[in-house]
Amino acid sequence: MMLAMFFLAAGVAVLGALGVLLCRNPIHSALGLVATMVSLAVVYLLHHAEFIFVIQLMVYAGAVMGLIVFVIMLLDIRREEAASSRFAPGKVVGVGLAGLFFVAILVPFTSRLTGRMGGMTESALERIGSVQYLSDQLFGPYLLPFEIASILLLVGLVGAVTLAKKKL
Amino acid sequence: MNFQMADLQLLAPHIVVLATALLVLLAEAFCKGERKGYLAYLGIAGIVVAALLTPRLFGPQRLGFSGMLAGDGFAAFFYFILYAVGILTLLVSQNYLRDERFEHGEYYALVLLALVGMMLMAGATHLMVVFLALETMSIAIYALAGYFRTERSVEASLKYFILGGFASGFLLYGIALIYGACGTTQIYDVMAYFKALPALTSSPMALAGIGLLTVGFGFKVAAVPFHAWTPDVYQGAPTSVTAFMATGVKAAAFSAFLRVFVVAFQGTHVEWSGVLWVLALLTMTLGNLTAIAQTDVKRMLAYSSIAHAGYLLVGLVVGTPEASSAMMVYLLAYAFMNIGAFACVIMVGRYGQENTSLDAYAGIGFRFPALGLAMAVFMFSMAGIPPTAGFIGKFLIFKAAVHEGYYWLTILGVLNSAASVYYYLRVIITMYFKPSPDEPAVDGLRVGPSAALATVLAGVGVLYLGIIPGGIIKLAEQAVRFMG
Repeated sequence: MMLAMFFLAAGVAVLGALGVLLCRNPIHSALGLVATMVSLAVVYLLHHAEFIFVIQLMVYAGAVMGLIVFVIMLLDIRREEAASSRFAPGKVVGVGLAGLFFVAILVPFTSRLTGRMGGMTESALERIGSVQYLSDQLFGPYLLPFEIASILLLVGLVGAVTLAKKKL
Repeated sequence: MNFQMADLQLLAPHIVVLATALLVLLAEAFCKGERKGYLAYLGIAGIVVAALLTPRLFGPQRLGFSGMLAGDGFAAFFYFILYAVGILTLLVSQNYLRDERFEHGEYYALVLLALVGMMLMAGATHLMVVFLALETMSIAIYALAGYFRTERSVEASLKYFILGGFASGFLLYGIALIYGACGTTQIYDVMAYFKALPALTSSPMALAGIGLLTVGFGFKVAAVPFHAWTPDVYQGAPTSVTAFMATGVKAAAFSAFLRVFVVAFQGTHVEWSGVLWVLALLTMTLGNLTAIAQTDVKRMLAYSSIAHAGYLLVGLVVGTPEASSAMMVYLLAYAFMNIGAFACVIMVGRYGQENTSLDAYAGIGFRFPALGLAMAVFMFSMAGIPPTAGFIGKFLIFKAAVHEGYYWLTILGVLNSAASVYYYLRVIITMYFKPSPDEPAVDGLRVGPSAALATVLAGVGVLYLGIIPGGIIKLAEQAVRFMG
């Protein structure tokens, strides 16, 4: 049952991602992105990561997607025109290389995973999903990456202002 | 809590540079003046304070923040390379930005923030910190590349951003696969796990992870075939940013490349060194051959930067402590000579006219003797002709390669280096032996005290490293001893 749900959610995620790439209408692409985000949230839930599931739904599927749709509507982006011819040699080579790469990243899954931290028992899973465990980790061993992430956001903010403000 | 005051000591230089960046932002907001050149000096003062806090990191290795950040000679040596890059970049920028009417505090703040990211990369001993630091550095550089908002500048920024986003994705997926194979992303734990479980070296998951990390780092150091962005981005970005990218990003990326590959993946050296062997050869050859065909000095320097990444990759292929210390000396030398060369390129241009085509350089050697001399020194150094820093760097790397029996790679590298002399000397020949046209493109130099100081400092650095390199080489050798 769990496995069936996982494959269902993963399948929808992949289809949504394909939709983002292939749709010509930006709004359809955005909807594809919503499908991917929500089904990823389901995958997190199946892995007992309840907190990440909630955050994924609230922040990504909710807030970020709302912003994206707003921006698309404000900028009034119309259907994208197909500019280039359909069969450029570069495209063929690109698709070939992408296919090769796709096969290459599937290779790791041929190896049998043993798991180093022991089996995923009920008690272990219960612990991993909890907000308390997550925050203990975040402010304990992972304090430095957490703080670097805040610098990263600051850099993003300053960079965005630098690039976007009409007159500095 | 597993966090002590001792950990803060390892982070002190980063905190100082970060605080300076914030101070620069605040200073600009509160001091409404037209002239903002003092912000560059504020940044330099911050870097100098950080540099004063760094020497105590030399010595035996200490790990802080639950094994996330190292305080060792390796990190400290790279911090000093990055300080040199930061100070020279700020000095070069000040005058250039004023002349281009684009002097704003955000520029200096972004340079300092990128510097924090680079320093964290050099100190990181955990792949998660490596990734976050790399992103911090990259996002600041994306914004800096588009800083001038001209069509070319924005194109450079967007190209770098999109391709860089892809490369980050590869890097992150590689880290995920390494975590899948080893159950940890702490660099020394990964090393121990590979040692404890030799079967892991043939595990497809671990090898695919190493491969993806190669792609991610290869992109940042502009190794062929991940170099396609380099010429356009280097040419389109503001020249001072190009100098910062070519030296700072390269040094930071190579520091992480070294620590991850030489330390964490030392058990799989046989596997990855073969791939890097080919990459090194391709990078050197393609960079040099394409540079020969260029008629634009800035673009030529972009391809030459690819070629230099190739020489550095030779050091990584060898992978011994000797080669690592050689790469560190090379990166320091490269910082001086490359920023120096770009400083000269900036001086030749003027507002609205960059004058980067080779024809513009005709005859300027005699009309501006000091500039001609400086450019000649930097070109000789890039070509690897003694007594300059470039020669010492190449010599050390090829020596390390010969010691490990990489004869073919050394021969091909030296041949490449000989071919590169052609296009470096062509700049000198154009400057001195081509008559200047009746209406010269360059009627005056855009030179200010800060740019002149930067050029002199870079020139002194190049000659010092070229003539009395003993102390620095010894320091680099000591620095890698504690790397693990």
